[in-house]
Amino acid sequence: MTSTPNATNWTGALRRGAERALPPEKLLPETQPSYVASWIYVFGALTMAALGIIIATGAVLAIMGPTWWHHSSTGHFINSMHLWSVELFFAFMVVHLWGKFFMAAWRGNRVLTWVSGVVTFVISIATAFTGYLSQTNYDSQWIATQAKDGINATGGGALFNVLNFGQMLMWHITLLPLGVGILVVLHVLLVRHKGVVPPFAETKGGAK
Amino acid sequence: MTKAPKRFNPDRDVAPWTGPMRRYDIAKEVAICFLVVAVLTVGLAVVFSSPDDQAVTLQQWARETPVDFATTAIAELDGTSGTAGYGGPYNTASPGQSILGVSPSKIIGVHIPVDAAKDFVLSPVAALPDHPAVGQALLTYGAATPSQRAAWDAAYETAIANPAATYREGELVVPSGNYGPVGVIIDALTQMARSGALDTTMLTEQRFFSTDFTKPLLFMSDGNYLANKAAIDHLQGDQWGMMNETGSWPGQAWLWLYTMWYQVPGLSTSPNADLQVWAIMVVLTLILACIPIIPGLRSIPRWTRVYRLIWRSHYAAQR
Amino acid sequence: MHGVATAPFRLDALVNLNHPNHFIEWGWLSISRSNAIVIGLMVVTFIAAVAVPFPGQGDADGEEAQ
Repeated sequence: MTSTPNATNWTGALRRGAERALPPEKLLPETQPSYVASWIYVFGALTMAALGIIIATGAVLAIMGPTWWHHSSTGHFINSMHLWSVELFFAFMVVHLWGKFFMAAWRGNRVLTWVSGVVTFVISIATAFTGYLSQTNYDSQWIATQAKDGINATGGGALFNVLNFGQMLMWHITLLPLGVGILVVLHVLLVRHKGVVPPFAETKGGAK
Repeated sequence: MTKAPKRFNPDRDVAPWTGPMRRYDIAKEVAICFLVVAVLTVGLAVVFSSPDDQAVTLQQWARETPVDFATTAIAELDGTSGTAGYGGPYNTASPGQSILGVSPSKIIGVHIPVDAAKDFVLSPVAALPDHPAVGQALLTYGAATPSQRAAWDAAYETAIANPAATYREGELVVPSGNYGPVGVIIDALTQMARSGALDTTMLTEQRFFSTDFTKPLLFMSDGNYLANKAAIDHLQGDQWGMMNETGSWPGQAWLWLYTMWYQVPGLSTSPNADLQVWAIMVVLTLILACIPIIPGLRSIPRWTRVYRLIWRSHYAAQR
Repeated sequence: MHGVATAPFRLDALVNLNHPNHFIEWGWLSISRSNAIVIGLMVVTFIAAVAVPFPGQGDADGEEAQ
């Protein structure tokens, strides 16, 4: 039974808007433009893969609690995986950023893709920071007592108390990962919606 | 009236692609990337593990460097410690850092009240049961005039700073002087810390649960124990510490630019350094986000021609 | 016990990094050896990513653009 679109139905409008922005063939295409032929293109996916490992290992640490890793060798190993996946995450993300910069990937109305990437970078740094504060060891103590001065100077310390372990742990495992997750989804959907940025048009003597 | 079409700007605009497509399996790419990163992560964890320097306790601090502990305690009592003179969000002792005449911490005010003398010294010691001498010392101190208290505090501060001050046979040994009940109070606090009781008392403030370590951490950071340990691993602010890690593990390389400003002469010694560095980093982050709309900056990719390498198969096919 | 303490039952790393780092210093610049290696590897990786040919160049079989 076919139905004509109901102008006042929010659900239908939402669905039609989503289908227009991202028809299934655009969301999950089996082809890419022929210029997508460089290893640099892989670094977005590598960054997301590292994020997946961070979340998986973080989930195990969450299941067992924040001090488990100090007295369990398995826990310490999971913590090591969590740390190294974070190092890989930032390394891949920055290489991805360098690549996107040199491709001027903001061209053709892709400014929001670039901006969402930068915001993801910043929120990731905040997430990592609260992670270091959540280690319940000397490093957490030192980082907290040092970082408090910068944050207090801005007035932010009145709300965001880096010496409050409980608060920092909750930001680290709920609020900030949610922020990263939402931004990453937005970023990827924007790439799918706009397509991968085409190359500079070459003329004799340089790009046009 | 129709808007005039924008002039094509190669650093901002690009024509939509109408050329050939190629087969590409994104799901396979993501799956392979996941496997590669998982193997890399496991490998790095097996080979290098991760650091875990045990947290420092007030007990450890008071046992290993009791004179430094007592020196910090008297500074809290007489208001000369870092925390006592900090300003917002802990107290109003200082206007805090300012930039362009504005002090955000002063404007926002006190939201995490900390009274250094009471929270770090007098209240914990008052929690000690069955110590008549300590109870009497607290009463004497509380009943004295502010100037009398200041005189006792100053005398004890001088005494503990004397190179002869030491800890021997279960008590602080300082040159004699007129410090009234202050010696008994500081001694009691030191004993309490060495027993481990101060860690719990200062954290829980005689409740049961707490996950807020503000007071023990502020107290400990007013002394030298944490900082001396940090210096060994180059973790201090003027050692590029923000990007370093304990031991020989890599740290937070992505903080290189933030920590760099703390090494710059002029900024590094500025009383408003933290706020100034924050402001610089906010501006630089905004610039990073706005590169697409900043002429000149957004032309660098075209000028440097790194894209010629990335898209070389495309340009070869076009020729 | 002061100094560096480790978890009692830790799976031993193949390479022990539990000692103070080495630092490369040049004037006011100072970078730990491990951070320098990480950053160096990132630069090498970026150069390799843009320089090393990507496989499957022959797949551009002229399908209509979508």
